[in-house]
Amino acid sequence: MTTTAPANTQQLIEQLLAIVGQDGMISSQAELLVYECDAYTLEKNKPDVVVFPTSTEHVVEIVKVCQKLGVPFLPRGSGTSLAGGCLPVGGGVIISLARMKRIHEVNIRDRYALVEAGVINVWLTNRVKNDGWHYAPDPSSQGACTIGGNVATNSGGPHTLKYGVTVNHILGVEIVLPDGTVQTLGGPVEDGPGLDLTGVVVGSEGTFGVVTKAWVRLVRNPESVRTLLGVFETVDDATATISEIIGTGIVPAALELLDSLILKAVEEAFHFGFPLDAGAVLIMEVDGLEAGLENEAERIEKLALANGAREVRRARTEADRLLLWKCRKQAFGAVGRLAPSYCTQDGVVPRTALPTMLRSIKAIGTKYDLQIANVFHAGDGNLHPILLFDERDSDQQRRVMEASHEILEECLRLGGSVTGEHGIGVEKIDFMPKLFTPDDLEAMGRVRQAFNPTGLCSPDKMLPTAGACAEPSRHKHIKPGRRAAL
Amino acid sequence: MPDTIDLDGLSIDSITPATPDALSEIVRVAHTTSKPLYWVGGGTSLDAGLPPRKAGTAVRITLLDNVIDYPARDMTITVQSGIRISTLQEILAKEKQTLPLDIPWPDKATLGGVLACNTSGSRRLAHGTPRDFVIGLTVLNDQGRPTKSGGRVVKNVAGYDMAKLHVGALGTLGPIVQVTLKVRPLPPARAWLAMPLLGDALETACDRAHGCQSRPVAFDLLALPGGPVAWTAMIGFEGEPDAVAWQVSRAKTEFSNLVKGNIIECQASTVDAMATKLAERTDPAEGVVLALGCLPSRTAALAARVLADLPGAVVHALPGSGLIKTVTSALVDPRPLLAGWRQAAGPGGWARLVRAPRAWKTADATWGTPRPESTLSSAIQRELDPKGLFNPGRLLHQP
Repeated sequence: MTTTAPANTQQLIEQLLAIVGQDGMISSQAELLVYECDAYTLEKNKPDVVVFPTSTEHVVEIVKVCQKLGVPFLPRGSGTSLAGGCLPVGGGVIISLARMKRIHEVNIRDRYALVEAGVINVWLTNRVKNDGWHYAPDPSSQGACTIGGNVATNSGGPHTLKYGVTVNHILGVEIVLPDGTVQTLGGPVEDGPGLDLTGVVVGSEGTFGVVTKAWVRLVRNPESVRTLLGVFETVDDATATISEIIGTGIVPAALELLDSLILKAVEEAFHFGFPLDAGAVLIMEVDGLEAGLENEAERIEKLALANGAREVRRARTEADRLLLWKCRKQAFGAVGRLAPSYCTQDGVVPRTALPTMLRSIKAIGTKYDLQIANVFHAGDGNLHPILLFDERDSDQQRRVMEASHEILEECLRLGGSVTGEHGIGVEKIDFMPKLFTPDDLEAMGRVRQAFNPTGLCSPDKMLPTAGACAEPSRHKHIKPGRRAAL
Repeated sequence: MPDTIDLDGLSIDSITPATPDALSEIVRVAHTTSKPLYWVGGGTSLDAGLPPRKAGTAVRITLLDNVIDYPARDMTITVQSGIRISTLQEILAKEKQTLPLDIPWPDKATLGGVLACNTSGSRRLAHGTPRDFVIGLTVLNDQGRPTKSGGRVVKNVAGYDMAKLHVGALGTLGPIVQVTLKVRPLPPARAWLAMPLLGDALETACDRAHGCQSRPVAFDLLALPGGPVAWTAMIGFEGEPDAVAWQVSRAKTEFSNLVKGNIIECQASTVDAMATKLAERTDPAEGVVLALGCLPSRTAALAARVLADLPGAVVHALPGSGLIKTVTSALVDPRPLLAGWRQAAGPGGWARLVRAPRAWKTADATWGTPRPESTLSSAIQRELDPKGLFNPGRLLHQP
């Protein structure tokens, strides 16, 4: 469905063409199909047009045209998000930041870089690594996802256990507000006066405007790293180890769990040498100064063995370590070997509830007759159950959705949340009233109202209605892709 | 009977609700009467921001100090906002955990006040500021009803991160009533070194701290009147004992040619409170306090200028964060210096009066020229506090 009338669409296209040119626009139905969803494929809807601005000025002009014509618009990075965050619910204009990919400034002495929103996450680390620095948030999709997209969803990654998520590393942003005004919020000088607007823009899933640039914190590389692989007979033993490690006061750089099903896929793809008869493995990484690090690694090794690890291996070389991380970060890609389609969930529970939660996931898989693989940020309690299915089978799709909801419900019951790093998007919007009271949601709606009074920027995302002060969502109860799926 | 309180020069009645419901009732009444409310915690930062000008009632949020939940193995704690920082740290220490913010006057300061004022100190270099520790927050809305954001898990992106707005908002968006924090393990070992610097070594010392082999959790510059040298660098380490010992030894070598006399290793008994003590140097009850911000690379030059402009002042700089605080005699009006300091602070830099006689604290002296985004901040304030009930006029240039 689309809310843009055909006559308007023609007018829209003409006016946008004048800004970005033929080379900067997609409007043919076939090409638009690419933009009907992100990496969450259960719901889909095509935009009316996709534009590729190359400058902030372009974005300003595009936004003004959309406002003038009353057309919804939303920003998009690489489309790797997993909750439909850049799904154009009401049609309209997708503003792709993919061509705004300049690294404007790298300032090691002052520990920051200024990048455009379309810069791929890993490019920044690649740029500064020879100086001994890096950009800390490292989502598994870091070879493809953009820093602008990371800002939108407040992305995490394996190493956020020690180094924090995206919001801890964003010093300021340049944002084109929904009325076309360009604002600089925050910046590399810390503690400027006024509200921390940068902090609330991070994680707002594109509903406050279009972030075009970001000042990001650069972090010194650790002097040394130890990467260990704990091999466990059962998932329970692995999760008990996680609790023990954190409980003894060690903050590892990363603690990642892979269960037997995902191990099978990863081993087939990358031939790391994972033991295929193991119930689970834990990647345990500590970093810091060389002095004292071996001690920490040995303590972790002992804790793992005391909690039932069959063996604890070490990454002996940097090549070993990189291969292990490749296996972890590309695990989702390897899932294709298990099933034609998959749906990844993103629930969070308190770390100590991980054993209960993983048993529940197993039971839910049995109940809905679905295979569920687990690969996740165990140290943060952030689960990524991967529900395997075949999207050509509508009954399987239905079961995947019901099982997903049941998993997330269980996360809430255990005191957690429905999303740790992927966002609410459209997928989890129905959970918002379960997580928050009407008063909570109204307060959030009021903040959105201050940024986005017409509601045309990323409508129908994050909050279940357009907010208390605006008219109710026009698309309420419409789940475009979900209808298609069912 | 209500007490009266001097709120940065405005004498008003104060009340102290004993329960969250009583606080809600106070807000409900204010919503009806349109009478402003001023939140007070431990009273250590009553002069943060612009002096209040509208009559109203001070509300002391000090009795709301319960621990709601402390699942230590999850390394999170949920508390009411009136809890004193020292009490909170004692509770955490029993589980070998800590909130690594360096808060001056921790026996008085409340968590809610710390969040509202975004107070931090030396170890922000390694651990960050209050915004980095809040994972869930409950405030009252303009009608006295609780509204929450975040949750109790360490990673959570459901809903807007409203806590970011409230941290540093000086209570202008509503009173903070309950907070969930993520906490850190207490470091098993700590050490501080005091290094009296040679006269021309200020800039070099900062550059060296930036690139040194050791990884300090704090690097401060301190100028105290009457000392043997103009500047002393303080460097802090924490972590595994082996790592701390190695860093102490390494730092002594790395900085040796910048030091006049000996590097002093602080006594174990004082290490624990070192960062707090440093923060208290520039947070006295008396005197005029100013704060400046600039890029880290400009800090040494700007700090030197502040000291040159205010001979005899205490100056405390955090070169890793580009922050400087100074305290000078109440007899000196430093306002004429602000324009020059702002220019010297460079793009994005700032200089402001924190504590001073009420008449000196104009909007310009307190906050500087309004930035373009202040219209957006004002719009958010209007949305969340349409009647202007909460700490009116203190954060921004408001009517």
